[in-house]
Amino acid sequence: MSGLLAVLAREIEERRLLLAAALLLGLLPLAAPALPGMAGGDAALARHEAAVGLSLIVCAVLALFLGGSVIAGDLAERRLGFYFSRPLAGWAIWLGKIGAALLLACGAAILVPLPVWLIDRITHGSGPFPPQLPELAVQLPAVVAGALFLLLVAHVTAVTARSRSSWLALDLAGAMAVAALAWASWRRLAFEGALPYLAPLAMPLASALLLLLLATSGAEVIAGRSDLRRAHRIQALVLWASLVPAAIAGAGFARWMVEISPADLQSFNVAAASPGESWIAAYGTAAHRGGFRSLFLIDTRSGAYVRTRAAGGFMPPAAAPPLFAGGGGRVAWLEPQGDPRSSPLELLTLDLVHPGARPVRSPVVVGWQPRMAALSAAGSLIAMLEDHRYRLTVTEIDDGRLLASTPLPAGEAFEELRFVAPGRLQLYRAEMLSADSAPDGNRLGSPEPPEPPGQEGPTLSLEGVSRRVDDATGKARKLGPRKAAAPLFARRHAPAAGDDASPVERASAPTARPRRFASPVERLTVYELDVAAPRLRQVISIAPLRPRSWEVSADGERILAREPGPLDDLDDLGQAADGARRIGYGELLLYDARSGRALARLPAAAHAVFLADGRIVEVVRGAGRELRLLDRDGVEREPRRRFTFPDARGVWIDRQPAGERLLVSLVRGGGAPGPVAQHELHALDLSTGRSLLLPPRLAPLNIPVQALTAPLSWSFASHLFRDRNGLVRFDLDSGRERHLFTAHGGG
Amino acid sequence: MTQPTAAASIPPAQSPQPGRDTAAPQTLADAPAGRGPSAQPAAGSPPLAAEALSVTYGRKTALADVSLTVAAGTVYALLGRNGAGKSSLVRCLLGEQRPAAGRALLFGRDVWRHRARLLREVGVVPEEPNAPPAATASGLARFSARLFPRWNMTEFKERLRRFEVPADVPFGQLSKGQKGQVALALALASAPRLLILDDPTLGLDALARRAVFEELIGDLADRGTTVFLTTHDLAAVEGIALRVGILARGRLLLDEELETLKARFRRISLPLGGVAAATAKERITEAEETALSELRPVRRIARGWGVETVVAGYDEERFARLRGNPGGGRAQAAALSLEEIFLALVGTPAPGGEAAAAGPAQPAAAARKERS
Repeated sequence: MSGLLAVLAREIEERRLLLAAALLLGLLPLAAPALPGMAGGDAALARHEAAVGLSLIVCAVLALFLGGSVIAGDLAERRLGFYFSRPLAGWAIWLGKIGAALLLACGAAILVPLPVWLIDRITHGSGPFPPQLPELAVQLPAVVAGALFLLLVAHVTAVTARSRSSWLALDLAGAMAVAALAWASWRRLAFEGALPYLAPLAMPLASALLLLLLATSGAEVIAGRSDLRRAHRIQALVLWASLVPAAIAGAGFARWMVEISPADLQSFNVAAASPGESWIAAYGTAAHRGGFRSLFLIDTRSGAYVRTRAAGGFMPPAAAPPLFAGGGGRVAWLEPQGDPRSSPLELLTLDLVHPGARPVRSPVVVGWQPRMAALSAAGSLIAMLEDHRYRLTVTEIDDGRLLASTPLPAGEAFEELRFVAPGRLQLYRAEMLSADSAPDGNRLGSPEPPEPPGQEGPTLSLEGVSRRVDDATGKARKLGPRKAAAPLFARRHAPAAGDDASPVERASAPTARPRRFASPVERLTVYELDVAAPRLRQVISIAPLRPRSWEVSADGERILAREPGPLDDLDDLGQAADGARRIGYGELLLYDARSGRALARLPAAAHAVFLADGRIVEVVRGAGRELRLLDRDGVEREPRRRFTFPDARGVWIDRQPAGERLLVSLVRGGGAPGPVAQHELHALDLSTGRSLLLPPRLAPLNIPVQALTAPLSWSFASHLFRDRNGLVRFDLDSGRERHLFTAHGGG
Repeated sequence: MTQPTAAASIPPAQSPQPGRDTAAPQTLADAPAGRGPSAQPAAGSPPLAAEALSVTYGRKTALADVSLTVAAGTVYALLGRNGAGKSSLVRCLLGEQRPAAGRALLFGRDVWRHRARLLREVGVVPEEPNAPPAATASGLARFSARLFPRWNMTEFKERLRRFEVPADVPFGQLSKGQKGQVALALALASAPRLLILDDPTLGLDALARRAVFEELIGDLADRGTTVFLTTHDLAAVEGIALRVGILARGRLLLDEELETLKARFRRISLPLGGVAAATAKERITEAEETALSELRPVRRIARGWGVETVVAGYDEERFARLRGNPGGGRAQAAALSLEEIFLALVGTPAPGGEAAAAGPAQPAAAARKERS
């Protein structure tokens, strides 16, 4: 240790003038406020920033200079023998010299801002320096590590350059190999959007690189001693024997990281399904890869799959799922041409009809991810709502020809885009009409009324707000946040995302601060664009509606929407805890999507869905245990088709119509309605009324609604379910099931 | 004409052989790695030894199978032409160069493995003074004082004063002679048990050379320091060296006591009665040739008056046999200086002459064979 200290002290003593020079350099930032462009600004801040910048520059320059000279210079000029001819261990020589260089670089970095700090302290009594201790604790190690990195890189480079030995060939070959492998790995990871998932590895990797440089430098001096060529040889061997395998391992890791198959998924969601074929688009999180997600197009019949780059990294799959053509023959999706952070997106297509088809790049390229897109039934046209240009475009996929480009109506709130006929598409817009919408989306209302004394009736609670409902009028009063919160059977309702199925139980009211609600309403406007006469035309406008309560039939001819009710401000509230009543919703109305005329009122419907052919299934309001089949005009025709489930406490329609079969979820048992696992899934035959109880381990897929691409009755995908182990195809006719791939179904 | 022997094939008299002394160094397996008491110099071991040392630089062999031992208290002078491998040997002995084969031992320990600990007892004067150029002599002394347990600052200052070297001038600004003197002062101030000097007088003027050797002699007188010295200053070495070794092309041609060496080398002048130089050697009779070969000629030069032969196996009896030949009665033997012996062994043959010791491999191999 005494040898180390002796070398350290000698090196610092020899170069002590550098510290004095740093102190003198520290006077320069005092003139920063006088620089052009700085006049009128905060002089102290200008001095501070100039001092910090100069400090970092001095630190970096000194690290490079000293790194390239303290050992490499001595080696090249045969002066390291002076140390080796004395009783000094090799490590003491190396560490003493490197340590002294590091101390000098960092010491200079500390000295440069000192004059500014002192002068600010003297003239103003305070100044931006020194930074607070917590900041220092973060900044100083980073500066020291950065300086050490530069120092070691300069040292290794200088030894290489000065030795001029034949080992330089190994250096060049090693550097090229490592650079090529690193670039290929980085490119692969970046293009697949996997880099953000590797952020936790950045610090260990940087530390490992620093340690490798330290080991290389140390071995070079300790084993190479005073012989420059020998030192270079050892340096080259240590460096490249570590870096090249590491780079190869890194390349292998990068490949392993992104080249995943559906079998690597530890959870999955189905983003979309082909209406006519057996293909689905499923995305999920790969196992052991830091949460890396990828999206696959999977042929559930053959197991063939295509991994897309659309969902990797930065693009959430649910926001940009692949588009299946209504005819089922094609799927199209956008992929970044290069780095997903900066590259334009190109449209790729896959022929779903011909087995073995590979993805094909189309000439369609967009600069940004469109807010929404739709594929024509034949798969030949793509319509995109491009936010950045605020236009709606329609493009011929195969030749990239722009068929239409029309400006969007002013405002936001576009919800859905769909082709309703060849060359004709509809754009749905749902505007909130409440005037007092808060920027954060929480709607604010009038101050709470004082608590009325002596009110009777059940008490419900949501978001910590207790309400008392008058049974006679159905109206509620807020009672304030202090009342005991009863268990509540609430329901998430998000038609735009297609999530309309899973009832959940809230065991107790959250303790969050109560929010106040007004009663906003929504206006649904339907626009239509004819590609032959490309001008966006408003077709209908319906208002007021309960927000996000509307649904459009597959052919775009009908709209189901709910009018506002007395408790619409209870956003999530659907049904009372006893399951007997639905509270707060207005009635459902069926509209003609072309004229906006209300065709029918469905007063009994607590909930209703369109079937693929336009018929309507309604869940009768009240007990929620009866389904009724209505025609496409909302009329119950003879013979009536009513399906009752006497023991059920709730009935929920799954969005998987399979021919005349409808999947329904039943809630049974006493007490509060249970979680999803306690539901029964039935395949209801609409023609006979018979219901087939599916194995309890199966759960519906919750495939999001996609314009005209909901699985049709003959769809292979309509037989898909998930169970605990992954994706299962359950044949509703034969009852046979086949396991497709293993992964836990995600939420 | 064939010359039957080479000088270096003669077994050096009383040459202590590495690994055969009573104080033979331990084997590698015995030598402890790392520091601690076990890395201390082994008591009774010779201060310096090389065991079958070989050094290569790529395909070039700098040292080939060199073995030598320097006993305590002696001055060993290693001689050799430029590029003979002296500096490589010194670098091995200082633990700066890892031998391709063999071991370099200081005080019985492998210096490559225990360099730092062993060098506490060693003072070093390099061929090219290599101290940091910005450091002053006093700064270097302060640095060295932290490293050597017996550092004597007074002695260092006194020596600098004697050398008339300024203590506060950066090393890089000193003259070459002054640099060498600072290096010597640094080496001696640590009171070393072993002094290794790699051509310390290279490039020095006569006065500076003399000062260096006077210091050495003084130190030897004071402390009995063991000295291992490589030099080209043969005249100066002759005054202080007890033992010499001669390296040629990486091989040790010779390793023996200086007095013994000088006693067995002679120049034999054989006048042949006014013959031409070109035919002088042919005029030597077979009997004369036989007698000469018993004296082990290493170099023969035809002169106008006869033949001059440097022999490595001179003794009175053999010389008398030569003189007993019909033409040998006029033969005369003259003693050689160390420089003459060196030149005879490794120097370029003079016009009309020839050297028997041209090939170093044979003598070294022969020497090994005789030792075994």
